[in-house]
Amino acid sequence: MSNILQELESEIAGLKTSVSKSNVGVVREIGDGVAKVEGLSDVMLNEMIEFPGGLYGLALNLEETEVGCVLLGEGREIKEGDEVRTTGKLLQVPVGKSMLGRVVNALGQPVDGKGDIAAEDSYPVEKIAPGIIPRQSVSQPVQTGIMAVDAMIPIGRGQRELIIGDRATGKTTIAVDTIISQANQNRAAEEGRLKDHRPLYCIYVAVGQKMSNVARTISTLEEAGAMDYTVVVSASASDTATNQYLAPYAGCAIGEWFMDNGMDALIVFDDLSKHAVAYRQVSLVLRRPSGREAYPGDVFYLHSRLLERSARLNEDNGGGSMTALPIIETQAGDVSAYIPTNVISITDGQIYLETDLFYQGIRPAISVGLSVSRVGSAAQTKAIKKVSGTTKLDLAQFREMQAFAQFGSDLDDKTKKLIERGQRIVELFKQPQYSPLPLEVQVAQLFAMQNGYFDDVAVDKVEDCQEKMTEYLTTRKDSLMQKISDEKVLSDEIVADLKAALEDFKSSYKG
Amino acid sequence: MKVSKEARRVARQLMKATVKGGRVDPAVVRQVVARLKELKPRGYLGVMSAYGRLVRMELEKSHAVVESAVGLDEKTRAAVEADLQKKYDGALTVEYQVVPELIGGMRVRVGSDVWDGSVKGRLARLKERIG
Repeated sequence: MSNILQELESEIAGLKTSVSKSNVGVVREIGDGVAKVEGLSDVMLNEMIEFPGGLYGLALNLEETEVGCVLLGEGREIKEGDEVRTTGKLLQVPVGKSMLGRVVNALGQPVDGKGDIAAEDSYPVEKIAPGIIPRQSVSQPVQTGIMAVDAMIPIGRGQRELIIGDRATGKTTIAVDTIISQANQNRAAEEGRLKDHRPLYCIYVAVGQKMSNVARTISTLEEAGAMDYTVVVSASASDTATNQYLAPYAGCAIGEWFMDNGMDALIVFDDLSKHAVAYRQVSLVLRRPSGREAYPGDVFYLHSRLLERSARLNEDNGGGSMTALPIIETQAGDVSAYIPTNVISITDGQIYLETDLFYQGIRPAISVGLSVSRVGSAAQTKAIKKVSGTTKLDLAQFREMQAFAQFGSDLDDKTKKLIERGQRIVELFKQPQYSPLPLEVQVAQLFAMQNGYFDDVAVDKVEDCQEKMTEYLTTRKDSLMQKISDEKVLSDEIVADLKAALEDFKSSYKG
Repeated sequence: MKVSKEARRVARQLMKATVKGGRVDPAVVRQVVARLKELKPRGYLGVMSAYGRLVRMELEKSHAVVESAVGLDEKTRAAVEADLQKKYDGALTVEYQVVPELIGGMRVRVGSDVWDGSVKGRLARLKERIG
């Protein structure tokens, strides 16, 4: 009691003599979430500007006589002639482990009704990406739990892998599956079932999405128990364009805290097409010159400076990493549009999802030919690498041969074999949503495929066989599965055990 | 009023000629206005409006507005003026205003700089600190 009184008295005493100097301006124009302010001679670029009523704005355009500010709120009560002042602060968001399990807006304020966040620190929203010296190359895998991705398009920690495709092709599902898989692995590591695992914390940034979609994603993550390791940054379609423009940077700042503190983070930007649209709106109302498709000239820099912040730091800098999974929605499969080409060129590879495949029932609808991971293979687990070496090639050849096979049945044995194997690989890679597979199961199934254990199973029974095989291996051969999970390499001993287990399973399996 | 880019450019050039030794020269301002009225070049209204704005902003830089809750006596005024002239290297015009909402103390504005020593300002800062 007396302490607080003393504190208050000292504060008052400090104020008695103090005269504060501030830099002020006057609102000359307001509309569309943008205020033109005269004065503010000392303002910095991206500085927070305080408006009457506790509202803040961001100084984005510094002109000779005016400053263009975007408002970080509704601003219905702001009028011409109002006095505003500089704060000397850049926009910051709270960061730290206490953010996990929470849903926040673009300013880092909680929107989940679970009370205030006692954040460890705060980070500026805009930050220069780590330079060349503190980085190291990608060498640790991100196990997405999606067999097609882990086998053919491996993602490493610190990589930026684009997920691209038309609307409703399962882009968000891939990202959510990956988040759930990380949560499963983190939990397994905490319980001592997974050796040498560095926990991967996830940040899901929803930009310009329907509130219902965001709510559904959050409830999916909650049901899977993934929210304990996840932060959701939401700037939905009803938020201002400014907040939608800032949300990915805010998410990135939250992820950077994990990276800077020697931990690993994964950030999903869902999606950057809407982010570019929000930035276009902000730029147009600020009257910046527009270019192709009315996007401003710096739309490339908008995404490059965001994605460059993903990195894997070397041991001297803590060895943390931030992996980015940006999502881009294409229109009618056009990957050569402005924003998709920009983001494709920035990222280290892409997972391309096709509508046709999706409606053929091949889910995840990953197009093997157009999907690529430029750096991930260096990070792929040895066991997976060994069993999936030729899978991508087999599948690509199968797609080519499949077109020929439609015209006639006179095919040589080799082609027939290739097609039959291809059909089974396609079936093997089909995976229901929100059920990521652990590494050891993936290894066993890919091993079975590579060694012809699926060859005598009818194509429409592959899924059933796969399910039963998983059940058999996880219940009756759990020690072997644990060994694969621990060692992460296929030693001669493991190969022999795996072969014996698969023989045993096949003898009892009635397809 | 919409002012074209060209008008703004011309107004900037005129402004350069108007400021001499860091101060606005009233004689030049009058001359510029008279010539613009006389010659009426293309978009002269826009030029005049942009020029007017630039002159106003420049003049504000050497104009101090002293706000206080009650009227200041001569002695205080002299002290305030002396302080301001020292801080801004002389040649400041000073205007006094009575703003009862300040409760007490003084608030001085020169250009876009504000020196706030009013009770209202202090209370606002206290509120900010305590949260």
